[in-house]
Amino acid sequence: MAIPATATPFCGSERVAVWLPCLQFTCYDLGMCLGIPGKVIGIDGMEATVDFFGVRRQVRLDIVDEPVALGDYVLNHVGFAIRRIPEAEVEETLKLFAELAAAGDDQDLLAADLRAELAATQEGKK
Amino acid sequence: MNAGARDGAELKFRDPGRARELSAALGRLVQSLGRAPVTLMHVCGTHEQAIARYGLRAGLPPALRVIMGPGCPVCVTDLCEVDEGVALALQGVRIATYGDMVKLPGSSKSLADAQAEGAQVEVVYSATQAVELARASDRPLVFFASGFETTAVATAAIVLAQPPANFSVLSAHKYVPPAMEAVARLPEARVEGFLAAGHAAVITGYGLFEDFAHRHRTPVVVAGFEPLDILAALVKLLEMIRDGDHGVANAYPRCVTRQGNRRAQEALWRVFQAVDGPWRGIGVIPDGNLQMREEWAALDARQRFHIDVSGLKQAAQSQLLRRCLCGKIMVGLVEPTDCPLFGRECLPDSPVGACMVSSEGTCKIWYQYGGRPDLGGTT
Repeated sequence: MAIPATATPFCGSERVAVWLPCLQFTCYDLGMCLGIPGKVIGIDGMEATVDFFGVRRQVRLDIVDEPVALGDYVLNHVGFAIRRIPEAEVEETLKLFAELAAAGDDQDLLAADLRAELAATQEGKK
Repeated sequence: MNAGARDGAELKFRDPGRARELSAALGRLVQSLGRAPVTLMHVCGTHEQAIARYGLRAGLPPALRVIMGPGCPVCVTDLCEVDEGVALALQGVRIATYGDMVKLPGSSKSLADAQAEGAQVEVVYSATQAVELARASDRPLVFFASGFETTAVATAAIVLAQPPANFSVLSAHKYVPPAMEAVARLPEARVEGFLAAGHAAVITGYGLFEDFAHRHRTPVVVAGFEPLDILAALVKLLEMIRDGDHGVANAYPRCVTRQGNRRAQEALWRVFQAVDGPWRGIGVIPDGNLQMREEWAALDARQRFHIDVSGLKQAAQSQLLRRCLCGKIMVGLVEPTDCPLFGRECLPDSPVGACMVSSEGTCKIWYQYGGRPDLGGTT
């Protein structure tokens, strides 16, 4: 059986790689299921400027579930905010993604999907 | 809404002690059911990534099987749909599509093959980028759109936002709930409970699964993507099986509500309708495909262009493809390691079957992380 990668049972990923802001979008994968959370720092009609772990991107607000205001956190999927994250849940959600993002290298499919989610947003307005 | 849901919200995501407790609980619960194997199915590539990445299967009781169902939208994109994209590209129409779709084999060619023959195929990460490409030139551009309902809502939003006249959509979008129906009806699959994908449920809401769970007498638990989220959801699912509870539990309350995102649902169903359609390797799924409504004919590539796929069909199916087990893998009947091609003729760089193409395909995930870790133990 030829399975090259070894998996660590439960948690404990010791790999440390800097994920952001080295946004090299060479990855050809797109996670169809995973979103990425970010903070709304500007709104212009149907478009919001969102800070994702220090990187500014433009996100569409056409289909978000509730009205979004400055300072809110949203979950982004393929360039669209799909949920305003309730305040009580922000910290928990961010921690989860930050850890996942920090642990991922080039070969990591979950981290690659996160990078693709960020790539699905547009460059932030200067 | 229930104890399971509250537990889910309070979990620390990466606590080995908590993981061991959950693992022990799984062992006790499976034993109390008094039968083996007990099969639970999830329908999401991201769940499989997390299960494989963290080696969760190594900690499951031997009598518990956790398998992946049809949870990879690229994998279930039918040969005919790829052929349509390839035919359009070879007719000189510019194609924009998500990255995984480029290598996906059609009847005889992939979009990458078409590209090698001079066709223009652009990789985009979002529907918005496809629209921008269309705006940047006068040439017709077709957005070859794949993905489940979570991604289809983005396509719907773009269609509703008045894209330029040279833009149209070739929809390969699929709708997951009908595929769960199909698997639940397969007698040989013997799935006793389903894990539903958290982020798809952000859109649809978990209420959508209530009727399904009731009719099939099969509980459904909506789960997040962290290792402990998944283990806690499995515990909840086994408890429901033990108690004969054929309902739906939400183990991902920080993202998922009962009614879901109504605005997104409205956009989705204004643009698309569910129609019967083929899923690669599985067959026709009633109401499984998302087709653009007649109202949007001007933006529907199938209405706008004459797409002639006849030239692509003639090639006989290759010997290799005949041995590919993707179809059986996608409904959970066999595992990637049961396939004679896995890791030999079929590799991420030269995939034979669709499950090795996408980052959400079972085979690619197992190849990357290992599926069932061999820790040298007896399990």
